[in-house]
Amino acid sequence: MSVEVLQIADIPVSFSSDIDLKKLIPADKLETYQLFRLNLEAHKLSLLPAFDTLLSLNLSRGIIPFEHQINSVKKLLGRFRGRGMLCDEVGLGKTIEASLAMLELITRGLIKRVLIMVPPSLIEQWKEETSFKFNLEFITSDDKEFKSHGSAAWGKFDRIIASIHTAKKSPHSDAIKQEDFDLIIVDEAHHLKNANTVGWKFINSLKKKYIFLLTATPVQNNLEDLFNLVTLVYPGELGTLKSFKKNFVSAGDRLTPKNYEQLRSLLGELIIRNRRATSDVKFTKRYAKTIRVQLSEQEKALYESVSDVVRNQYKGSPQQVKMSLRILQEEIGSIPPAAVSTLESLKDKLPDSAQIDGLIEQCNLMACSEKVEVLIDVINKTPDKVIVFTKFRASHTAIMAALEKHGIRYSPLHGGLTRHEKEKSIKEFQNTSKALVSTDVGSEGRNLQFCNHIINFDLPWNPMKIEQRIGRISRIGQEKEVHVTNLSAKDTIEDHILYLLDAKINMFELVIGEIDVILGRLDEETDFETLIMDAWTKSPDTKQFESEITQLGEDLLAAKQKYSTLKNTEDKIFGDQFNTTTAEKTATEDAEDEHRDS
Amino acid sequence: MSTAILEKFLIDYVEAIEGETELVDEGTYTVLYGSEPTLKTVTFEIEAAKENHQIELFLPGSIFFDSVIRDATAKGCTCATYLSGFQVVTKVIQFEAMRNFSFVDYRKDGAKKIEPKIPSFQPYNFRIWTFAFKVRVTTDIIEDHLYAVSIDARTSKILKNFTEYLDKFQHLSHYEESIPDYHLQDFQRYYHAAIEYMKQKLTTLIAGKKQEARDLKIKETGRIKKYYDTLNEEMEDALEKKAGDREAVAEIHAKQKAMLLQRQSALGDIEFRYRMGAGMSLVSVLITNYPCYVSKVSVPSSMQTAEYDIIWNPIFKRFEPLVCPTCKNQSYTLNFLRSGIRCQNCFKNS
Repeated sequence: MSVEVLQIADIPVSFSSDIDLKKLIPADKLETYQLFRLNLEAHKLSLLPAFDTLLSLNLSRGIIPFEHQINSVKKLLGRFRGRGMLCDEVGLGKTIEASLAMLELITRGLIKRVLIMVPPSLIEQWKEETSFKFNLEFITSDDKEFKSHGSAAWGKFDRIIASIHTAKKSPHSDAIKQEDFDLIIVDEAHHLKNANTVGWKFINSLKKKYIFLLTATPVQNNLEDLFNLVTLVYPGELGTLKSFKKNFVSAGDRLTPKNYEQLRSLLGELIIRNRRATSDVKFTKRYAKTIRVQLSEQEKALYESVSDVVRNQYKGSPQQVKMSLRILQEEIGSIPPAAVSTLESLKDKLPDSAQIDGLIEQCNLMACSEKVEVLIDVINKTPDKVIVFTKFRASHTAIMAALEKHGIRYSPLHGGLTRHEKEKSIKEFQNTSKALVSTDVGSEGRNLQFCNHIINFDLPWNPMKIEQRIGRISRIGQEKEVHVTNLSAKDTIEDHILYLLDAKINMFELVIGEIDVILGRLDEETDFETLIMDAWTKSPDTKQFESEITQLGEDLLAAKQKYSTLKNTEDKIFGDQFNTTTAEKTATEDAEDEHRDS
Repeated sequence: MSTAILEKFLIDYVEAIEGETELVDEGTYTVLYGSEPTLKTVTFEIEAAKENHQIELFLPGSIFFDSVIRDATAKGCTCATYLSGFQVVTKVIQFEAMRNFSFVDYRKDGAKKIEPKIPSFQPYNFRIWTFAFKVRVTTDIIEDHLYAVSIDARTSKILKNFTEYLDKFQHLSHYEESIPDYHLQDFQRYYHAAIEYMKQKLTTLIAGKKQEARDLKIKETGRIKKYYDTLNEEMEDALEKKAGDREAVAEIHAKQKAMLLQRQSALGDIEFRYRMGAGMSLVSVLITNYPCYVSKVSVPSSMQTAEYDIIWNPIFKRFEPLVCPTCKNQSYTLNFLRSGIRCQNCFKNS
């Protein structure tokens, strides 16, 4: 190997070569052109070009990123050097941007260890997106295998999606602080607005080469929130808190900045904020309809009996039993047969096993729920193809049996199918079937925008999961109006959830992502489904539960209004100055020449 | 586009090492390769790999991908090719040559077009050398560039984008019939030309990166200095306010000391982060042999008879220009004057 040093623009450039040029003639023993081409292609694939060429675009699947998303990634990695805040308005794909940037760094070999911290309700969504859209396998902190390693798990796995609530608590926080993660991503980072909280201090204390903070609402209550978030990314960028307040916060109004221009210029070095108004993302309109089903006396009585068991046993039960009781409550809200397996698993854990046996027997006898009849009626009256979503396999089976009985052509989709069977089923639905009967797990990673009508046979308590269902059809490529039909049995928990989400805050017509922001403002620490379950179990009767729900509804409405007010404030602070709808001219003519040369 | 690039690369690789690929499912192939044939099932779909652990992923960072890249870059470092498949009718180029070149004899009684006799064109072997260089520039980020520099061995001139032409032709390991080599320049001359070209490229590239790193360094340094200076001022204020409280003063002094150390370390980090480095390596060489058609022409004028090689280049589908003996530039028109032979430019300027 020959090595020499060339002095170029005052920089010593080592020039090495393994090739003995003197031995190249005569050319008889040289390799073929095909191998030369292959060699060049292999070098190109292992090259780390400037960030105005994104390698990740070739590796993502089933997504065609928008221009603003591509530009955001280029800016985040190029100009911001991998430390920045993605503050796009909701619905513009911050997750896509962050995942693309992450994939770019992984592909270039710049990072290996990644820790994504999100609110618990978004863990599964992140896992699904990173896996299906970006071919990146993550383990979640909820995973049994992860949990089996205790806090040592943080050092054992290279790619982790964790609940930030879990991560910031001891002993996990201490273990994480010992680790060197190359990239930290925090979704819904507005939860870190307060520098005195455990969460902020925890993120601030982590060793990190790159950090992406994702939030649609960087200003929550006052400008200090923004200062605290920025300080996590670039300490000192906005000065000290005292100097920041002096320079940028109006006296007597902590939400109104002064020295706008100077502040914007500083923020322009670390914040990306695309707005829907200036982006190329357009969605068709969504319409939602709720059908309240009157259960038969017998079915209603069974629902109440199961609910009584849940209410009476919930308080004071171990965590695992509590979890099962919650699932049981969700199952009985779907149809009675869905509750059988959980009831069976609870039989030995609850005091009155004879009572549980009785409930199992009743559930088994009630295979044909009123809801199923109403579903058949809705499908028959709908001219379009429909996707029927259910949470449970038992409900899935019951729905299929009913469709079969009524001669409605359907295709099944559930987690038990192989990738092939799923694809086949979707194709069949696209070509011939009237209905696709899908569980939430079955539809993961699938784009079903050729259909524009979904029916929620039962309702996930986690609104993010409801959004995911809608997102299967309300996405790019959907050309028709989207219709969502919700079925709920009167006076069930799901009925009340629908009242909150549909009647109270009109969730089904919100932009995807907005509900999460609103719920975040409702309660930062507790997820929505826990709030519901707590209200249910602490209410001795329906009247009390209704009053709890009414209060929750008022809080939700207030959170929605506050979100709307803050959005206006943020628009004032950021304007259109931070969007990336128009690419920055980063590539020089020389770079273009190089590209042509190579 | 998805993983199409990787898919094509894998198929090309297996084909180049004389193996076989068969598509068994969308994004999944069986691959048979190696001297002791190995059968593998590889996929670009993470879902397929999850379903069946016998299937290997072929994505950047995967073990199989890395091993293929390693093998492919170890191969094809010194290559030669013989281009074939040109449709050349020598009679036609013989006729075309007259229309492309112009020779004018400036005599006392005025200018007269010379129409030399063009003998038939004979094939000669010409060469183009392509040197592929990989350049890595390091500041706080790493940036790679790949340059394929092609040099005409007859003129030692750079041929821009030559590699883009190559896929259009048929490639052989040798000519079907042997043809004589045309007189070419010494290897050192065109290798030197390639290096000089790269130096120019690197000068522009490094100057740009240096400026970028310098700007970032200044900005970062300014931010850190300002931040710690403000903190220090705030501590000085606190010291003034707590002047009577010995314990508080001692505490602030300790904080100040720690802060100064932090400042120093932060500035040191910045200095280190933006330190610039660059390296270049010659990763492969390709010698492209191709037949050019040459006619040795005598151009008689009133002053002298000059000999020229008129060359038809079938790659670029053009006649190679002649060299003006006065200015050494290339031209298709030569004027024969009492003072010497001049191209049109020299002629106008004289």
